[in-house]
Order: sequence, then C-alpha cells, then structure tokens
Amino acid sequence: MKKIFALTLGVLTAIGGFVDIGDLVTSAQVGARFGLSLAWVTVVGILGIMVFAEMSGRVAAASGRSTFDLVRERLGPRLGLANLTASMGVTGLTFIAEIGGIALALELATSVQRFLWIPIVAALVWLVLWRVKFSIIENAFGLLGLGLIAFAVAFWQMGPDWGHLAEQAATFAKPGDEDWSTYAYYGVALFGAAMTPYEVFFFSSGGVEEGWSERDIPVMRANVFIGFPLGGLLSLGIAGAAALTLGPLGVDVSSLSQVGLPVATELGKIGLAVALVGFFGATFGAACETGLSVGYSISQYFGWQWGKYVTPTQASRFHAMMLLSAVLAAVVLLTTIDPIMVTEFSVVFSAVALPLTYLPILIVANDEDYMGKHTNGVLANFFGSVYMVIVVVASVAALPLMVWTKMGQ
Amino acid sequence: MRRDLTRSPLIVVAALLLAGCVPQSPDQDTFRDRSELAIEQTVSAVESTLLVLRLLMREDMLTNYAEIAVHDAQDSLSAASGGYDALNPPRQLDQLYSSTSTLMSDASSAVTDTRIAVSRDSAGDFAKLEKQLSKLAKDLHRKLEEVRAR
Repeated sequence: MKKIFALTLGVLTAIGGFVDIGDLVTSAQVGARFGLSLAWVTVVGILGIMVFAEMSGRVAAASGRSTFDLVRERLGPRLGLANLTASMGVTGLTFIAEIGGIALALELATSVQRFLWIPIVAALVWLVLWRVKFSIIENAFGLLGLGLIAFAVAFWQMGPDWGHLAEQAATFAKPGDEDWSTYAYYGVALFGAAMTPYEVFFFSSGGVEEGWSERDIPVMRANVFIGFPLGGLLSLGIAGAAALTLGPLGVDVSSLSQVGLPVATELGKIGLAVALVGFFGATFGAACETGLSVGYSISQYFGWQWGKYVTPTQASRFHAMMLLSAVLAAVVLLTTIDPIMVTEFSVVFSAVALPLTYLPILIVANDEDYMGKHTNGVLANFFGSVYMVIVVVASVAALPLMVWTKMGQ
Repeated sequence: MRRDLTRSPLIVVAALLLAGCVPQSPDQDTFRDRSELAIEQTVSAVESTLLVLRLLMREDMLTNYAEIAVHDAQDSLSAASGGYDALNPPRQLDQLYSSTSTLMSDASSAVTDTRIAVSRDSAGDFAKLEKQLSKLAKDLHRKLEEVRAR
C-alpha cells in the first residue's frame, strides 16, 4: 500500500511538475496562433524528455553518481566545461523566468505590482531551497501544479470538434496567414520548452540525493513513462483552450494574464482561481528545480560538496551558488525586463543548448564501467540517436529563426 | 596604421548605434508590414480587454486578475503605438498611417477607460465600454483585412 501511495504521489508530482513558465507561455502562444497544428512538436518533445530523463535517472540509480560528476570524469574537463556553460546559461535564464513567473502569478492574484513581489519571491525561493526538505518541495509544488488541470477541463468543456482538431494535429500544415519560418520558429521554441535541460539534471541529482539504487529503477520509470506524458497533456490542454478561445479573436499571447482567460471563459471564477494556484505551484516548483540545478551542476563539475541533505556549513559553496542565483534573478527582473520576454529567450536558448546537454548523457549511459548491466540497450540507443539528430537540427535552426522572424513576429 | 585598424570597428559600431537612434523611414512594403503588425497588436489588446470586460459582466472573473489583465493590455498597446508612431511613413501611405494611428489612439483611450472603470469597480460603465470596445474591435478586424488584402 505504501509503495502504491509513493508511486501515485510520484506520478502526480511528475504531472504537476512537468509544466513550467516556458510551457505555459509557449503552449498558449502557439495554441492561439497555430491552433493544434504544432501539437506534434509537443508530442515529439515529451518523448524526447522521456528518453533522456529515463537515461539520466538510470545513470543516477546504477552508478549512484550525478550527471555532471560523470560527464567531467568521462569526457574530460574541457567538454565538461562546454556542457556546463551551455546548460548553466539556459538554466540560469530559466530560473530568472520562473521567479518572474511566480511574481506574475502573485500579481494576478493580488493586483499588487510584480516589482514588489520579485524580491520577496526570490528570498522565499532561496529560503525554501535552504530550509525545506527535498521531498516536501517536490510533492507540495508538484501537487499545487496540478491546478493546471483546469485548462484540460476547460478545453473539454468547450466541446471542441475533436475530429477537426485531430485532423489539424495530424496534418503537417500551418494556418494560412502565417509564414513557414514563423511556424518553424514556434516549433523549435515549443520543443525547447518541452526538453528544458534542467529537468534531467534535477531528475538525476534528485535521484542521487534520495539515494536511488537499482531497485528504484521501476518507480523512476513509472514517473517518467506515466507522469511525463500526462504532464504533457496539460501543455496540450493549455494550447487547445487558447486555440478555441483566443485564436478566433486574434489575441496574440504576450502576458500571463492572457494565458488564464480561456479557463475563466469556461469555468468562471473558481476555475480561474484553481488555474492561478496551478500557475503558482508550477512556477514555484520549477524555480526550486532550476535553482537547485544551478547549485548541483556547478558543484558537481568542480567537485564541491553538494546536496540538500548536506548542512550549509558542509556544502557552503553549493548553498552560496543558490543564494547568488536568487539575488541575480531578482536584480535582473528589477531592471523592469518583461519576464515573458525572458521566458521566450529561455526556451529558444534551451533549444540551442540541447546537444551539449544530451550528448554527454547518451555517452555516459553507454559506458559499461559506470552502468554495468544497466548500460543502454538497443531501444534506448535507437531513440537516443534519433533524438540527437532532432536536437542538433533544432539547435542549429533556433538562432537563425529567432533573428529571421524577429522572435516570431 | 595600427591605430587606424583599431579605430575602424569603433567607428562602424558608433555609426550603427547612431543609426538606431534615427527614426526609421521604411519603404512602402516594409511600412505596410509594420502597419499590419501594429494593427494585429492592437486587435490583441482590444480583444483581450473586451473578453475580460465580458467575463466581469458575467461575474466570471476575479477583480484583481481583471485589473492586471487590462493593465497588461494597456502596456502592450503603449508599446505598439510607441513603435508605430516612431516611423516616418512613405508619402504614398500617409492615409494608411493616419487611419492606423487614429484606430490605435481610439483603442488606447478605450482600454484606459476600461482600466479605470475596472479598478473603480464601476459596473455601471461596463455596458457602455463593452459597446465601445466591440465596435472598435470590428473596425480593427476590418482594417486588418484591408491591409492584408493589399
């Protein structure tokens, strides 16, 4: 019974924790402009993150060591540093976007300006990272993130023409008034949002923190193979609701307030309040994950003592990195930069950094010295290789598309 | 010789920065594209405000949320009209510039009025504002189709 409860909780938190500010904004933007014609990208992205999350979780469980630790040891400090720089740049940007997202959610709930919330939120995130237990962070915010189910319910309530939507999703076509370049740009952004690098770092480092062993691999796989796709359905729900409500009106999503409007249209005040809780849970959970990922990755690369279970006096540099990140995020956001714009940049740069993030994981997962009998099999290598090709294409295309389309204008 | 080489990139950078400070004078095609984008952004802001207002009238919207949503629409409208007003239109497209600017200005006034009414919770003004925004939204959609058709 206890095992079933743990499994259910793991799956639920994986669902609630799957969506972050990048998914929220990008899914709504894409839904409003392209309907469900880019839904296939979300599906490809979810499959991709499942492939690499399972791989990095297996690495953690089989070797008892985290990704960056192994990457530096296996590939040498130079390639490790390239991996660290690319991943940290994106994770840092995502952390800023998540802190901004929490402030925006609180602004929507209270109508108090986000600039007042930003320092409070940054301090609160740091405090939670410092003082609150790992399992509580994961479960509490993952469960609060389940509030985003309001989008899926609203989408269902709208009673869409499922046949038409299925046709739209299955056909490789764009709406008539959009360019192929814009279609491709948003496709890459959506892919970057689904495959954000921090998710695998957090997943594997979290596994090491919780002392995963070979016995935990089935539970880890259940989280990945059940929780992630169901979490992905939330992204599709956000896109679908935006497609039916905002698309026909010509609303181009440029703020978090617009993202929630479809829910209010269908489910009224209560639905909107639930969605707001979802915004808060999803962004707070992701801020904790990205904040921890910054600390994990840098500490693991340099061989410092790290971990939430280690006291701050023993892992001072790990905790200092998280404190610095929170201060930096607040400072950047207080320059009045739009958090939604930071989010847009973060998902595109996430796509750029993908090969440097995932190639080392693929290499380490094929190393029998670390993995023993859990070395990648044919299936994992097939999907891993196919996805390496896809991430390289997305990475190469991301920046030219961003410049060419003026960020999707 | 060495000094010349180090100076030349600086001159190029300075020239590019100065060029960025001069109001742009786009050609006709570019100006039409910029007008289309400005109208699209205005449509988005007006329709968002209208949706929020209708939800408030149905009592399906949280007041705090509504205030911020309308404020966001006003911000995006300000950014759009700021960018558009900074353009120097080609002489042949003066009419397009003038009609687009007028629509954007009307939209800005209507959204500002809505923001004030929402923050004051003046439910009595909502019906009048809803009518005004609906008409504006129709005009904007018509204008957008007109610009796209050219």
